[in-house]
Amino acid sequence: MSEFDTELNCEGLNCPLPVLKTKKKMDGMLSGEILKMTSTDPGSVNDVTFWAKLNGQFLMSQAEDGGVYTFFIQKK
Amino acid sequence: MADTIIKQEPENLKEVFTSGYAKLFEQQWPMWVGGILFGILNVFMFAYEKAWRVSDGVRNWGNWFFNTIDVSEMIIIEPHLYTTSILNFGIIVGAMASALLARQFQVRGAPAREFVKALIGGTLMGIGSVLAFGCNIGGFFSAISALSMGGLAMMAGLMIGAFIGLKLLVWEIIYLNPVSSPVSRKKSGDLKKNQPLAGTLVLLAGIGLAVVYDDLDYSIRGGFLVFGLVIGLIMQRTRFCFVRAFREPFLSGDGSAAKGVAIAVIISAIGFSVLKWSDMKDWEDSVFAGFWIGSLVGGIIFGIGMSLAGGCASGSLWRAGEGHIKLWVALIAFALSGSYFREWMAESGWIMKLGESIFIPDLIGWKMGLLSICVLI
Repeated sequence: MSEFDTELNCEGLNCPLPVLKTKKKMDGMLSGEILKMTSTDPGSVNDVTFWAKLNGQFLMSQAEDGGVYTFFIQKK
Repeated sequence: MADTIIKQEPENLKEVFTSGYAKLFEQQWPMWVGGILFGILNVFMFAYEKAWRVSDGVRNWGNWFFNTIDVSEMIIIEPHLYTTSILNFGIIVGAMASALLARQFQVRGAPAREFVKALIGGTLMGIGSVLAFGCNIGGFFSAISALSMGGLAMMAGLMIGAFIGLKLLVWEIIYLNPVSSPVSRKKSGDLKKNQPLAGTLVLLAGIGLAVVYDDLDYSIRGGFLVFGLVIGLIMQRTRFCFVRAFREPFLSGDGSAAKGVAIAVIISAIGFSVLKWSDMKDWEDSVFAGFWIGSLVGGIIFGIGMSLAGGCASGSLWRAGEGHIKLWVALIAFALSGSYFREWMAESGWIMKLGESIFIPDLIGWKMGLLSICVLI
């Protein structure tokens, strides 16, 4: 999983900033484009998952490595 | 078919233990589980000694600091003997142990602007908790449980504050330059393997300290330390967040946090009512004189503060335990501003003018009081 159109770095930010910034970023993207978001707050995992489900955005993958969470989300 | 079913059966004890461990410590618990547990715990604490509070313990640390650097000469109970302070300490340690057990502990830095927000947020929480005679726990959760009108006023204030706080955050994202966050990233893969062991040790050390309190004839204080450890553990596992409960309805429509808090309030309100009605506890217990100006204004200020800081009073404690430096900053600001502002309020006499204490059953009776709280929540 390495192809993406836009990148967003939310490392060091706490709830609710990662999901809030993701939302703003996605608002400016075209349908089908993929966003790569990285964060360090464990709470962002649930936040992003729930937000994606609620808004019909496609959470393609989500992984954790050394305390950094990486999400790939495709805009609907 | 038969094969797959057999394969799902754990083969030996180790596997049973591993899967049980994963269920408990690698997956997050639902918020409503936390709601039920906190409701019950608060009733136990009320029966044991006093209702759950947080802010006076944080303020106690501020008082102690000002005394230590000779800025003030307040007459205080030392932090290691002050029950709420011990409880708060327990929450931090419990959350740290829990985060370690879940391999989620990490010292987490943050961009500079986050620390500014933590300072402002913590300061506002300190001021708000003085005005409302408690934070989201003492002024809202325990106060409503104790059927105090002030609790309801603070709930309204917290909602307004959380809404304003959310607007501020959105405004920050849109209009301020994006934060360049060169946060140093350390790979801690190897460290994480040993975290469960460290977590167990931290937890045992906490329990050991409670036993020491008990030996020194401070049994009740030891009990509060254990309550704190348990609360910290549950908070970290459920990521119990009052900010989220007040904010998500505006942000995403996710009601799970609000439901968790509602369950907690209803359970503990019923428990408190039984204790008070049966005269095991004073009717006036945990009913404070903040209705309605102090509670409402305090709630609004506190609500904005907790949104900026990224954690309320209890939320800051458990996140500090999880390793977020930002929340340590928020706690320090909370302690200092709370201590300073409380002194100023007391000296200027304003503290007597915040409102009155109204015990709901005095107005409309027990049954109606309890029923209306449950319906309202």
